[in-house]
Amino acid sequence: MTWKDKLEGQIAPQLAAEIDAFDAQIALKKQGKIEDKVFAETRLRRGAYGQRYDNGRRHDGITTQDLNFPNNPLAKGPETLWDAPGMERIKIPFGGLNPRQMEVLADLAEEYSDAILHITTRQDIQLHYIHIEDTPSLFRRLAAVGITTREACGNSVRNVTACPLAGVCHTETFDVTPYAKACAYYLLGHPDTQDFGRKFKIAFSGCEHEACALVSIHDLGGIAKTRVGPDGKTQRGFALYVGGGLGAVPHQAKLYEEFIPEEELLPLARAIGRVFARLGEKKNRNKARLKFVVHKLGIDAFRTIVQEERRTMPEDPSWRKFFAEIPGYEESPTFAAVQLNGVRKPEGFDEWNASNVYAQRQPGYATVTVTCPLGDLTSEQTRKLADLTRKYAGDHARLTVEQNIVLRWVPHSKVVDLYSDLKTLGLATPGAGTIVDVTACPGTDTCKLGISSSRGLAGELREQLSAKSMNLDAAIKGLRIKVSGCFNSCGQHHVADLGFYGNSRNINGYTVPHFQVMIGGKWLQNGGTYALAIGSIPSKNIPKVVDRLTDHYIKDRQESETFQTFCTRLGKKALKGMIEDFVHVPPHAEAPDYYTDWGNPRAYTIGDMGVGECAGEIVSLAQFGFTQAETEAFEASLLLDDNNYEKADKTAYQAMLTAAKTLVQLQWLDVPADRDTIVKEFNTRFVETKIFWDKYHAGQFANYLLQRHESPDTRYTLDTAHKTVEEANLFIDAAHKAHAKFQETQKII
Amino acid sequence: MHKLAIKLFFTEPSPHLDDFVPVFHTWIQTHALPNHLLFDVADYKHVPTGPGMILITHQANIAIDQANHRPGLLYTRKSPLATTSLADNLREVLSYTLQAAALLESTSALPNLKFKTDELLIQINDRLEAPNTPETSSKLSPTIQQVANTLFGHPVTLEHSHDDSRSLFEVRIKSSQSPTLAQLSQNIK
Repeated sequence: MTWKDKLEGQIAPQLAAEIDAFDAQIALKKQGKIEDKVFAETRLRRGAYGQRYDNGRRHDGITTQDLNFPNNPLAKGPETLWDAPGMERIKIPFGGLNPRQMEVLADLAEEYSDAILHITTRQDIQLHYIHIEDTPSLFRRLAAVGITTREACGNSVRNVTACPLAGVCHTETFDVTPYAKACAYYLLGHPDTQDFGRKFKIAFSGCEHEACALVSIHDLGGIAKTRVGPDGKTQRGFALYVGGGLGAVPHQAKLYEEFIPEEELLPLARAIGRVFARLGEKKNRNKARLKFVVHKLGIDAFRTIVQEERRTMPEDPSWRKFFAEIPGYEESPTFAAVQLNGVRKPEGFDEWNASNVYAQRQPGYATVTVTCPLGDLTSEQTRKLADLTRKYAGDHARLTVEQNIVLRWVPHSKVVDLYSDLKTLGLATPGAGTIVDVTACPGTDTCKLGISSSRGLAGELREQLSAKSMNLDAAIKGLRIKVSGCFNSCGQHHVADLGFYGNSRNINGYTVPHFQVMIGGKWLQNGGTYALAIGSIPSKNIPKVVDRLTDHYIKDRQESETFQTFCTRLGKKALKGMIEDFVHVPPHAEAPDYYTDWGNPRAYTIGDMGVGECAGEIVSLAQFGFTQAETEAFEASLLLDDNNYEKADKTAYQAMLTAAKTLVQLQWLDVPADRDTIVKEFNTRFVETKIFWDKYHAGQFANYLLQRHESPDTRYTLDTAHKTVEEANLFIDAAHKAHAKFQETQKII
Repeated sequence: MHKLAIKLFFTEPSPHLDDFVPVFHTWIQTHALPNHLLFDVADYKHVPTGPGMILITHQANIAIDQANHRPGLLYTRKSPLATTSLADNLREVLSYTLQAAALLESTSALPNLKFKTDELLIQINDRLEAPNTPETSSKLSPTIQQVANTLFGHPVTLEHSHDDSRSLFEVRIKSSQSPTLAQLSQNIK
């Protein structure tokens, strides 16, 4: 019995087929039949990411050890060993989770990972230390509860995020949840989003002035708007922003259009995707995000190109199906609203209530934030939290970009009981959204690009600040701290009041962990202002930097001056001056602690950094197409082994069609998916032109497809199916040759 | 059925989780556990009643587990074992767990660390093979009882809990005596 057997019929057919294909690709990779980089991008598009030390080397503090994994040198990507553990990123569109999904995630963390679920800054869940061969079962179990990991990593549309208060917020224009959902599923696996040079991030926000979904830091973001239409009725739509992003070169998103009507959202997102696929950089990974396209062209020229694309791109009516679901979306409470009245409040409740409970727009209901330190919670906590979600909030839980979980629609009368129950799970920590609720990316704990220990620093700051939180001045309680392990900004340090990103300095002959101090970023207004860098400080001095800067703020701020205004008024020079005395690193003999990172006694090194996979692998559409065809041919051979002759024949035929379509797409990207067109175009463009032509066998290989298409042998016996499977393999080989020949002709031209 | 987990509890008071960090890093440097490729330490001390501090190896996660506020050493097997029978697999996983426990007890940096040896927990970390049901219990208990009796050198008590079918299948073994870790290791050879 396998999970595939057990879950048969419980997984949507499309998802099941995708996972079967990935299963087959794993088998093909083990047989050496898929290139490393093709398999890497394939698994990345399934959310299966690399992890630190997966190149088979680790510095143990004294020397670099080779990690002799059993299957070395078998690899799952360039510089990525097969048996090395990996991270699985699980996309949760708009962070929406129901209790059943929480239970399955808990089980998967326990069985395949280390019993910890990690919430990311993009409303995903990540599991670490996963073996690649466990991923198909993991995917099936997720798929059975409606979760896909498809395109969670790689050069694709990443998780679509939205404000966790959408639908219950006091200041939103309207609930953006169904729009985020429609956008996520419309673009998922869409042919026009498969040829990006880099990732593409989308967010939706219900209001302009709150932080909400941080639209400014996204490739594409929508802020809910309404206007009165020509018919006098209120029309919904979005202020659309493009080309935002953090990373080493942060860009604020540019306003594309003040108002696009709601029905334009999906087609326009597709048009922007097509423009990005066409004009986005494919070679230099550091310049490949949409922000560089927008910057290079200017927003006006970019808008003109997108408008032209929107006008001329082939019609894709499938968006209407997703759009049609929007009006029907409704999240309704499970329990009746009852106000809190006279219930005895347990110790600690008031402090927790002040920071973690939000009175919803709907009277009598609250949204409760469950604080998860560093975004982590255990499988057991998750399972019990699923119970509490059912008990107090119905089906309504969401992950937040601040690495917490919110339970929505909790009747006020039940908030005290919920607090008590959360407390027994160790999940009633106060301080959500305050200075103690420090956000951090994985950093050197697990990320190949991590330079300094973001989680180590975040944990230390959390501990130190929590210890004195009762005595913290109200002015600094509301500040936000965000930490990234490197400049790539996964911890979103640019939009924090106090942000830090890891770097290192060579001092006294040693490499010393440091953090760049970034201050004055704005979380509100959708990430309205990016922080200023004021200097790199040894990692071990960062807690003192926090104390120094916040002390100055309390002492020197003008009446009701925000931290951002305070920073702007003082200027970088003065701020830098405040922390200058922390730059010094004492000699190793005096203070060896400076030469190690937080929570790690090993002598610090940057030698463990690997090649990041954030950027994915540049794999052409043709490479993907051929890999898909080979996967289908392999599946056909497995079906043949199972004596399923009809399905084997049809799958082998499909493999030939996929290979033929891949060739046609070299000349006609938007070739329709119907079989007749593919075969006709293949014949015209590749057979009649003798590109698909063998020196000795002439058009024989092409005929395999042409004949199977025209007159299939419907007896479906072992012999007939075997023939088709054999022919499919030969056809794919010939397609590879034709591809090479075509590329040669292009060079000559 | 190889995804077995064994937990040995500490006596009170147990060391602070931070104390295990340098120990585990030293183990990695010295390849301290035979038959295991050691390569990382995962710090989860910020998560209440969580896996605490984990020594990550290719073959198993070795955690200073804090579940139910009862700290202990939790060995969770990940990679397949050489044998296939439950009894053989249990014996092998028990021997690795005891080996790690003995190493911890002998570590000078953890002078107060002691294990309770009259109780241990066996989990099967595989809901497909061993869902937490009375049927699984009926099917597996005889083998577990047999191995546990051998381990302790006398008949022991097995306790099951099926309260939450979502949890891992788990058996608590209780002994009337407290042999040393070395005796337990010897018994299971």
